[in-house]
Amino acid sequence: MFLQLFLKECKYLLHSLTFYLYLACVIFMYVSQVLPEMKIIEEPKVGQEDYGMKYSKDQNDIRKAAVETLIREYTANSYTAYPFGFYKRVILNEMKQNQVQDILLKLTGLRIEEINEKIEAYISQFNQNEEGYSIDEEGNIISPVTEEDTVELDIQVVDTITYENFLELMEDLNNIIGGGSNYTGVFLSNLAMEPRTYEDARNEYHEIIEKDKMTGAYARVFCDYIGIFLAILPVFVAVTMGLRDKKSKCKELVYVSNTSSKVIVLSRYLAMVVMMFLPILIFALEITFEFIMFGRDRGIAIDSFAFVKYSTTWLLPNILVATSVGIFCTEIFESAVAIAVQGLWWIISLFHGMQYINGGYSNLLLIRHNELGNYDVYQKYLNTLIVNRVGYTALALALVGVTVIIYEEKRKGKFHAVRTILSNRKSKCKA
Amino acid sequence: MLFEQYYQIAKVNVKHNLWKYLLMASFFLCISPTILSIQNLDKKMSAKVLELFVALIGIILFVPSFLPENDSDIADLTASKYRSVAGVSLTRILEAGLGLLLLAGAYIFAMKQSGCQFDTMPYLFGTISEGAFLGAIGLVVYTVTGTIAIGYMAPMLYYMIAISTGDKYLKKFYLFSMMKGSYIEKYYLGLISIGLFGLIILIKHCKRR
Repeated sequence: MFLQLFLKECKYLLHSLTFYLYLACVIFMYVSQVLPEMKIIEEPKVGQEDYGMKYSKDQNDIRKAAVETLIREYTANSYTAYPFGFYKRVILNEMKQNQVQDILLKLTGLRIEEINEKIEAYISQFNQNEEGYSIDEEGNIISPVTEEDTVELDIQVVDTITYENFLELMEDLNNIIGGGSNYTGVFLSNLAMEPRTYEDARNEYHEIIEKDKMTGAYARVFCDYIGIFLAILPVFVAVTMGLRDKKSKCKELVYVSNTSSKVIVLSRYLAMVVMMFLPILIFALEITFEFIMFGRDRGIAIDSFAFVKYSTTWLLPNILVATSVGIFCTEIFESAVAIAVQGLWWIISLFHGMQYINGGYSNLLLIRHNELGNYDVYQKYLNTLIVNRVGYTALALALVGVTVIIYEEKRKGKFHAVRTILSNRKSKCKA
Repeated sequence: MLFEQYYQIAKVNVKHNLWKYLLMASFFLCISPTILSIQNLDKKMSAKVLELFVALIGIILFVPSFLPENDSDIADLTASKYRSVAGVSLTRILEAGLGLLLLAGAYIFAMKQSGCQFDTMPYLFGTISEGAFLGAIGLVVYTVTGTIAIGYMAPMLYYMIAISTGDKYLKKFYLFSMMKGSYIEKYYLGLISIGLFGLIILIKHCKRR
């Protein structure tokens, strides 16, 4: 019975315009976003002009960059924060500014007067008379302060403060600002930049080839792009399917059938999940095939299952969640309210996720990894990733379970959709 | 007499349909302080808030304009009335537009009060054209397909394409041009929305006949 219903639902999906729109969107994103990112990485050569920039992992660089940023923000009383991905300019009151000042003094071991003197000396070199500036033949503005003359902002973190103490102070600072500031998590570790050397570029290349077996690195980028859309698109399909019985006025007819609620809800849910996951799996196999051919030509050993593994563990939970929200809300409200719920969740995840765009992950529905390689970050936060995906899968299954119960209660006439309850209440009032 | 009839149509629409979506859109805007800041923003950041977030209320307000007719009994009832379907449709679209204007206007006022630096009228116009454009796409798709989920899906897809591909494919119909300091795209969006609303009314009119 289950299989029969499952196949029937799959067949129905093949006649659904919403499903084809979903398909069109996924194909468009795959062609326009994913494929251009699948260019095979070239081995770096000695003597290249530059190898790009990288985030410095040196603790001294991070401490120096953090203090410089703090001095700049403290002086202007304007702190940048991204509590949910959107830029937020935080202005602190006097009490909080004093708390920040205390942290600054602890970090630098200086008196506030000394800090102010150094800042003034640093700023004054740029505030010279306009006449000091000139314009060269190409129209570039030439500053009177040459690189050799530039006075550095010589304020450092005192040696007595260990890196652990420094991190604690940064966390206090972040709390004063209200969270999501430059002094926490990924933002803090991204403050210091340094040029990448040939060795760095070569190591990264070898990391991708050896540790990631090439396809692992590309599979994460694949999941990053496709995951954004899979966190919302399935809800549209689920709502269409959920409202189908009501629209065709056969809801009651299904209610009185012999089939159990479990079979009805689960077969429908599973059909949607399978049908929506199939194209993703096909893309994954198609890219894998190309990598297999490339690996054979170049003699590089690749992980032939990486794309399928990542797709199943990384992307499938997105489909499970969005679809379960769709069927759950539609069963309760008998309207398209699930789209608003999932839409809002998606927007918050999307913008909040910007701070983890190159990995790092979090408890958000959208998992980002928009950088080829970055294997260290992936390994470091692998547990977070696993907990996240398992958690969302469990949430999706729990929602499906509750939907089965609600559906059963509705069939027994013990529960009515919110919409029906409201309209009945109105009728009674009128009466 | 005619005015009185349309006034009644407008009133009934607010009472039975629009109020839910006005409430939802207001809720959407009211929760914004928990996810973004509207204090002391410069031009670019103000545009980001308005284009990426506030304009989305256009989808909430316009797309369900004809939702009551999703119930075939109500559709038959409204179709049996003497009053032209074009007039009823226009009234509902104008009401949704008015809702968009009021809510976006109130939000922009709040931003101004919070020290944001931008030109009020061009930004208001830009937000409304984008909101109306997204809403019009949704409404035209809903009118044609009769499936509300697809009605919501179409503008969201457009929004996603704009976010992920920038102006590469959308060119003059790019949604987030104010962030780059350009308003010309907003005129295109505004004009296309008017055209789409006209098309919707025409489709409704033809369907009835």
